[in-house]
Amino acid sequence: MHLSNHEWWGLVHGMGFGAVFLLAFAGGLAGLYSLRPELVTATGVTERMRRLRIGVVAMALAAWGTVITGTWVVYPWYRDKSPTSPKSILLSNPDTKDWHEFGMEWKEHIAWLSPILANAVAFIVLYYGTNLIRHDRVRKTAMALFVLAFAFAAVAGTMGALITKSAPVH
Amino acid sequence: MSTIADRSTPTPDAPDIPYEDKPEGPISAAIIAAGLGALFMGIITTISEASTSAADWLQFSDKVGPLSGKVIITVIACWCAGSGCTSRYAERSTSPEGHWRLHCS
Repeated sequence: MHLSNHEWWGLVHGMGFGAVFLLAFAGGLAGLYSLRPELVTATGVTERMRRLRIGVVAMALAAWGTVITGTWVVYPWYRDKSPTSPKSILLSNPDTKDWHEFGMEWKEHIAWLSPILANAVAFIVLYYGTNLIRHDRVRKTAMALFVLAFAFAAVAGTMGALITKSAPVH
Repeated sequence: MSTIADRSTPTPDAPDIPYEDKPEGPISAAIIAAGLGALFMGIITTISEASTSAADWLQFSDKVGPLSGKVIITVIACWCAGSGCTSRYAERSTSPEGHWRLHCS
């Protein structure tokens, strides 16, 4: 079993940060959802807020890690001008060129909105803390941004998996 | 002048939970910064697709191509919007007009 340098970085980009991202999203969303007066106690809120802070910060860091490694490490190998690069392979076949023209364009551009939104949520949670329990609209706004950040990244992740299946970075 | 104490609290407080009352301006600033970042990414991508000279200019890294310029400029725009809104908020919070608010009612 051997992974090349390119494959290793593809794994870090897609599965390493991706797994952290998924776990952090689940924890963060559950934490934000349950920050309601009828669901928290004075004793429990300290532990819950700590878990929520860890979840949202981990998700923001994972999202930044994913887009930074994707853009600056893996993407140059993908877009290499050689005829054996994934981009050249996808574009050479009319049946697969949409993977580049739609899938990769989403990964290049829309996916960058995910860390920006996750960052805003992390800031809101760190700054506002337990006040999120009292201000329902702020909590719901944070949840909406959090879900959007996840949705953009989930589509990008799915595209990434399918593009890798069609034309992997070796 | 609006003060922190004036803000409505639509959700009843949970008993015995410690709250440190904070103004909502920085939250508005973070959301505005994220929105402007997204808008900027859209605008700069459209410009880059429409003009080859713009795409060439955005090629900060030869290996990454125009995407390098797009994302660097977007992140800088986001940062500037966030810090700009926050400092504007800080000015307003000490002025007679009062605080920026994210309405909770």
